[in-house]
Amino acid sequence: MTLNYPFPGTVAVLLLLAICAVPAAGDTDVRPTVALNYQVEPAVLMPGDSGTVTISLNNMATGEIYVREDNKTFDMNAYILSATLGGNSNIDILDSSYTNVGLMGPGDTLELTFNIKAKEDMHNSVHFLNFELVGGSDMYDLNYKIPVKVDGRDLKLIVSNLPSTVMNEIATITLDVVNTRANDVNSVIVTSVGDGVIFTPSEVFVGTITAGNRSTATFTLDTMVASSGVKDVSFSASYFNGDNLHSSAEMSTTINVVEQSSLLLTAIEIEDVGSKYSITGDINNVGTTDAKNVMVSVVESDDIEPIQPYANYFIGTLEADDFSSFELSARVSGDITSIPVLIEFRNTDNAYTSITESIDLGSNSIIGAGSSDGMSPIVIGVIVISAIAIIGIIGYSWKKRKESA
Amino acid sequence: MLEVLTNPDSFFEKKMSEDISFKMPIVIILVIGVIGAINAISMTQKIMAELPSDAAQFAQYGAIFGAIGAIIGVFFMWVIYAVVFYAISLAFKGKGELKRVLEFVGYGFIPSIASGVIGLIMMTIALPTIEFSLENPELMQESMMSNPMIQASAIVGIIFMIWSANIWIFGLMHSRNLSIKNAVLTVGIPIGLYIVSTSYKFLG
Repeated sequence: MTLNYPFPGTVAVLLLLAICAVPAAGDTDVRPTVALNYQVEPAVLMPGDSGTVTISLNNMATGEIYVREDNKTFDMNAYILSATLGGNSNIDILDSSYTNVGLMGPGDTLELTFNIKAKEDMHNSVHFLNFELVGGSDMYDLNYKIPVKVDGRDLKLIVSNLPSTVMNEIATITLDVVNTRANDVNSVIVTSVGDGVIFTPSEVFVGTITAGNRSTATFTLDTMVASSGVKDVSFSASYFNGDNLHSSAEMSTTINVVEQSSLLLTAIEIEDVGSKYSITGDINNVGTTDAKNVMVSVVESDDIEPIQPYANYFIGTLEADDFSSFELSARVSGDITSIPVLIEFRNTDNAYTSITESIDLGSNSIIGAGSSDGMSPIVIGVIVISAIAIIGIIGYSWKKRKESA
Repeated sequence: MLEVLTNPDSFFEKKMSEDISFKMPIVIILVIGVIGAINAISMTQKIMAELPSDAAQFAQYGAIFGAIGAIIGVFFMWVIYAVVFYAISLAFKGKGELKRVLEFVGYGFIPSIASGVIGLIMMTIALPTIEFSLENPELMQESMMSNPMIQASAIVGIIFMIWSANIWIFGLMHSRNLSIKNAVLTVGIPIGLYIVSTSYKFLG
């Protein structure tokens, strides 16, 4: 007799309700035998879960319904008068007994399903439910204990690469969802929540996680517009154990956001020729993910006009921890002290992102300064004095002509 | 010589009684040419700095040719001015030799010496700030035209050109025996057009 426990498999229990023997006196009783299998769904319940116990009865007799033996005729049908599953203080049986079930012919199989419910406050353990089968005619009764395991273990969420400090950047967060239970769970969905930060997507469908295994959910953490400070982030998972919906314990943590762009402009040199500014420098990716389709442009306004050949400068993909040079040109009028530069790129999710940086005309290295200030007062004075003098001389020459005329 | 600047009417009246002499006008034009040559050499040196080293040695010859060209160009300009004034005065039935017109137009270039010197000083100040981009000549030209020093030099040139025009009016009046009104028109039309086109080019 082999008991394949805990899997809801086959447990063959041969009950000899009748012993085919030939007594010395010549009397033989032939009785039908019944094999019993059971399946508990879900395989392992959690406290409060509903489930089913399905008992499968199989009439092991083969051949004819009526067997003739020693001038006697025996009926090989298995008569089942009633089948009852009894609960205990921790597990309720939600269905009444099966009565007047009927008979099973030789080789027939009958499945009886009972709804069960584990109590909310029960402890982890294996509970035995009493199965009572009352037979009729030549069939003996059957009593059996069916084990039902209750285990309250939850899914565990583990974040392996959440940085403690981030800048205004895009980061990839990987979350491991571990099934510590002894049975599979299905329809697992992981949800992320951030205070002042954005997770994309907000939910990830993981699917079925087999017992003792893990799956991975990947999120993109967007702190591009987050203000500086400590932010709360949390992760949780919902899943089904059988038909029972559960939520895992929330995994909460914090991250510190530093208000610093992940794309930095350095080594800025400004060359001004008249009212035209030529800006050269380096753009550095100090974030943790690559920036794709990077382009820098001068922001146009009433006083600032981007001019060719470098109204905008395309850089392409800027990998993390890499840099590239760029050049921009703009014409400036009025009292402008800084030039706004727009940095556009796509993050790892191909979402469009932009940052505006300001290049200060005063503090950066300027070559050829001075010519953009317009005519100096001295030059204007020279022009005015020359004009006055020449007009005076011309006037004097015409006056002399009139006098001589 | 000062009289031609302050009382050109009396100066040219006296000159009409003398023989035609190109001695002084040639000296005046030569001085202007030398100033122009110095300017051309400064510009060439700036361009040489932008060239690759193997091309730079050929640019030295360019400087020499530029200087010679500046001197010849001024003489050429003197002749052109005289011919244009003579041609326009024909419409007003002017009477007088072209050679006399040429002589008197030469004297009218004296103010250009002063404007040339002032322009040279301003160009020397402005040159380091000009973007000499051989790959983008439009940027180079725009850079020059928008430079305040270059613009000031143009304004000074226009002012002194008006002074020269005043001298040429009296020169044409006497050399071509024109009325003052016709002399003003003879000089005023071409010089006025020149001033308008220069103003538009530099000052927008």
